[in-house]
This record gives sequence, structure tokens and C-alpha cells, in this order.
Amino acid sequence: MPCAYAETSELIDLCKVIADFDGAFVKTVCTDGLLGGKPHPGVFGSFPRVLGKYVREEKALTLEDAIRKMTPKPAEVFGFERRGLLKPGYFADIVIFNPDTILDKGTFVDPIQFPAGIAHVFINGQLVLTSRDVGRVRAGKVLRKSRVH
Amino acid sequence: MFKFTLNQDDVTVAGDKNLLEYLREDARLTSVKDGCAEGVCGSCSVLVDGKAWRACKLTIAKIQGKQIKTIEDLSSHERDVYAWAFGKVGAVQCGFCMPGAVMSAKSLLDANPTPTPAEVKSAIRYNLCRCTGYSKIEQAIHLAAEALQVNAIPDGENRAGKIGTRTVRVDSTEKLLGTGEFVDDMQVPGMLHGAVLRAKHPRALVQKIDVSVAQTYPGVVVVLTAKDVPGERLLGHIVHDWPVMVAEGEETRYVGDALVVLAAETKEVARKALELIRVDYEVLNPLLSPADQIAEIGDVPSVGSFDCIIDARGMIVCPGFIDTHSHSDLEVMVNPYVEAKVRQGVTTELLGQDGISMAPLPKKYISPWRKNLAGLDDDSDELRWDHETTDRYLRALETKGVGLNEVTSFPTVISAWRRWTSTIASRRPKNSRACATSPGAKWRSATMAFPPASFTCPAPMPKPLN
Repeated sequence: MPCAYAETSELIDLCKVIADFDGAFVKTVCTDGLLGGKPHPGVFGSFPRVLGKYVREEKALTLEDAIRKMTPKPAEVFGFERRGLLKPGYFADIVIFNPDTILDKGTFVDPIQFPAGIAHVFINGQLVLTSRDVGRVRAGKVLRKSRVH
Repeated sequence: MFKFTLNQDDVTVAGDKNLLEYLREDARLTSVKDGCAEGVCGSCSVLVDGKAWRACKLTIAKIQGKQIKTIEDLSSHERDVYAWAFGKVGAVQCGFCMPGAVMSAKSLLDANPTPTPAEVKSAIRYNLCRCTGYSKIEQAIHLAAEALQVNAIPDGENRAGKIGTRTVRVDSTEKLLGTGEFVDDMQVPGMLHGAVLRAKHPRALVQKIDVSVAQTYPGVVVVLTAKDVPGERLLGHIVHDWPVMVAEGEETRYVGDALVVLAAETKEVARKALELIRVDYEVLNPLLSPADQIAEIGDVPSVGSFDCIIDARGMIVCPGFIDTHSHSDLEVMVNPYVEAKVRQGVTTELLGQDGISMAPLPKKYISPWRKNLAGLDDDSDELRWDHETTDRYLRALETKGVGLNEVTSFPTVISAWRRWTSTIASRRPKNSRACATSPGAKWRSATMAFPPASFTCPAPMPKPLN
């Protein structure tokens, strides 16, 4: 999986790789970074970076394809039952974001910066984030193999 | 016996029939175009005693004793005027509707040489044009009116077609005056006639197409369905998603999607054979707008029953993101909210990546593994390291509570990292035992030379544990 924080010279190739939905490369999106110390900016911004930089600015892939890589595809690959789609009977893991403003803000110099444009996040039906604050709600579940979630 | 005048000739016809059919097939006046044959398009407009009529709506019996005129009857000067005016403004593109439009214009200008814009619009209200829109046709009629008034055509029209200059379309005049032949205007000795069976429903599942009766009908030469299309069956300017013919098992997208094409010795046989084809449809609700695609969310309860209402106009509402490669294994034990992820819209994250995890971990390996992880996933005095199994690690998370949905894989280390981690690899149980000691882990994760926070490709796909 390529790093979404490529140098400019690598940008064009990276756009192709990110857009290559069925190829061997980017099927899903991830942060792959450590939270401690001075983290890689991707830990704080990989998802908004794909939506802001690669979808809106570079037009390397469509919004629909990006979201497919970010949620239904991994849910399907990893077998998360009733997640990854907005559907009756599914867990209400929902993101509401502004496609015009979403963007990562962290840099290598100052990586610990929250992204712009994420308005609301629901986890298992509970509102855990609004544009104003993050609720201290432990709404998550531990998903286990061979257990009914 | 019916008598009438056609372009100044007295005509006698034995039996009644549709006027459009008579003009095209018997009189061979193919300037009268067969666009719809049901009075919608106006391409077959002719003059009946000076007034524009759609020929397809008339029969020979109805025009008994009347004077019929087609574009062939225009005087040489009139032809020049209309050809010049329509060509000059670029009203002629595909040209199919043009002879009909000219007849409507002539009907107007013969009676009213100086029409107002409203009168021009009204005169062509039955003439459909799908290429130009109507403003160019209206301009052409006004120009023609002026030229007929002064009885002269301004010359100097550019037909050289040089780049950067305005020019008249090369086939404008033939199309306008109906001398240019469209396929339906051609006749070849011994030619066959085609007919297409089209979908009756805008959206229906085509379950079965039975052409057996049509195939054996006398005079039918060939009957073709989707199965007979060699090579690429899907068409489209950008996305190839439009079938030449809709196959059994596929859905129709509009009234008029082709299902069967056949060829017969005569037009009548071809039409009759179409009626003998049986199609079983499962009729579905048509999709009439993009919004229809997302219309099945369900009934929305009354507004008063909600805790809060979010105005999502202009926003994207989508399923929460899944971080498929996360290193929050230690973080979640200390700070279960993992704000760095929630702030991005992540609602589920996969731990235990790159062969790095908090469990399984036999007690005797706690010290070396903790030192190893301290440099990667961070360390904290608040952490407990004595879970031993994945199950106990996950239970510890559940007891404390997690902000996001957390999933872990059973970590294995391969390739370059095996060497790097050889000193600590021995503390890891063998796979078979590992499965037993890590119930709850959803997958095995593996890695190939991943320096922290950078990537290589292709990433090895996780394998489900048995």
C-alpha cells in the first residue's frame, strides 16, 4: 500500500495507484502509523487526505470509489457483518462530512492536527463527534471471530 | 376510388390507405420523412390545400378532392431561398426533420409574409427537432421571409470551409430539400425489411424471450437476440453499459430498449412477426432519477420523535470508515477514545498489524517484547502486559470500554522482519498453538519489511484463521 503522503514528483503515479480500485494496490485506506511521540501525519489525516487531496483536488478517483475503499470494501474483505453500508439492520456507524472542505491538516513538522470537514460521527448509533466536540462515549464494540456481534 | 391532386398532378388511388405510406411507398416522395408515424414529430408535414398537416394522421379517403403539396413542388426560387436561409444560420444538422419544418414555414409565409416571432414559433410547434433546438430554425424562417419579400438572395455565402471562417454545412441543401437519402429512403431490389421488438416497460426483468413462433413464420428470414451478438454487446460514449439488445436475465432501462431484431421479406411480415414473439417480464418500479437509487432508506418517523436533527444539506452521509491497518494496540488501553481516528471519521480499526500486537504474549516474554514495542507503539506505565492470550486482551478492552469498534489479528512476522525480530520471534507460539491461545483474533496479519509509517506494495492480504 503506497503512502498517501508522497512527494510531488511521485504524485501522478500515486494518483493512478490510488484510483486503481481492482488492482493489486489500494483496495482499502488505512493510517498505519504510531500514535506516540511525533507521529506520522497520516495517523491523524489519512482518510480526509484521500477525500480532500485525491478526490477533490487531484480528481484521481471518484468520491464513490474512495468511500467504497474506505468502508464497504474492507467490511467485505474482513467479514464485518452488518457494517460498511447504510442499510436497515446494519450498525449505525456513520460519518457526515463536507466534501468541499474535508482535508487533513497535519504536516511532518506539526503532525498532531485534526482534519477539517468532518461534521458528525456515529458509532453503533451513538453520536461521538460533532463539529464542536468529541463526546466521551465508549460506543465501540470489540469485534471477535466466531461471536455474534 | 379516391381522387386528389399531388404536386399539381391529378391522382387516382384505388383503395384507402395511410397518406404517409402512400407518399413514401407508392409515390416515392421520400422527402416526406417517417419519424414516428403517430403524429408526434411533424417530419412528414405536407400542405393540404395550403395548410401544413402531418401526413401520418391522414388517409387517402380524407384528402379526397384536395390539393397535396410536398417540398418537391416548391419553385426553384423558393428552394434556393429556404436552402440559403436554413443553411446560413446552421439550422440543418442531422436534417431529418427539415423538409417537414420547411413545409410548416411555407404554409406560414404563403399566408403571412411578415410573421412575428410568436407566429413563427406557433407555425413550427408540431415540428420536433432534436439537434439544433428551435432558435436557429426560427431565425431561418425570418431570413427566408425577408428574402422572399425582396425576391432576392444575398450572395457571398461562404462554402469554402476554411478553418476559422463560418461556412455552410456541406450536406445542408440535400437534407433540407429531401433529396438526400436516409437509410429508410433507400430501396434495393430484393432487400429485406427489419423490425425491432422494444421493451414495453421502462424497468422490467426480462425473464424469457421466446422467438420460436416468429422464426418459423413464412417470410421471416432471421431473428436475432442478445445471444447472437458477437463480441462487445455493450455500447456507450463513456461507460459501456448500454446493451445492443437486452438479454434474458437483464433489466430494461427505458421503454424502447431493444430485445429482438428480425428481418423479413416484407415490412408487413416483419411487423406481424414481432407480434409473435413472447417475452416474460417481471415488471419493476422504474428508476426515474438518481435520487430514486437511494430512496429505499425506509419510513422516517415524525420529526418530533428524534433526539436531535442534523442538517446534512451539501454534506456526504456515508458509512463510518474502517482503518484497515492501525497501531492503536496500546493506545486503546490507556485512552479508549482514540481521537486521532474518530476525528477522521474512522469507526472501526484493525489492530495487530505488521506482526505487532499486545497479545498473545507468554509472561516470560513480557520484558523483551515491552522494550521492543516501546519504540514502536509507545509505552505507558498505565499499561498491563499480563494478558497472555488475545481473548484476555480483548476482554480487558471490553471491561474498560472502547470508543471505536476494535478488531485484532493474530500477528505473524515474515520475510525481512523475521531476521530483524529473530531474537524475539522465539517467544511467539507456533501457529497451531497460537490459534488456540488467541481466540477472538479475526485474522493473521503478516508483514514484509514495513519500516514504521511507510508502505510497500502489494501488501499481503490477511488470511482468515481456521
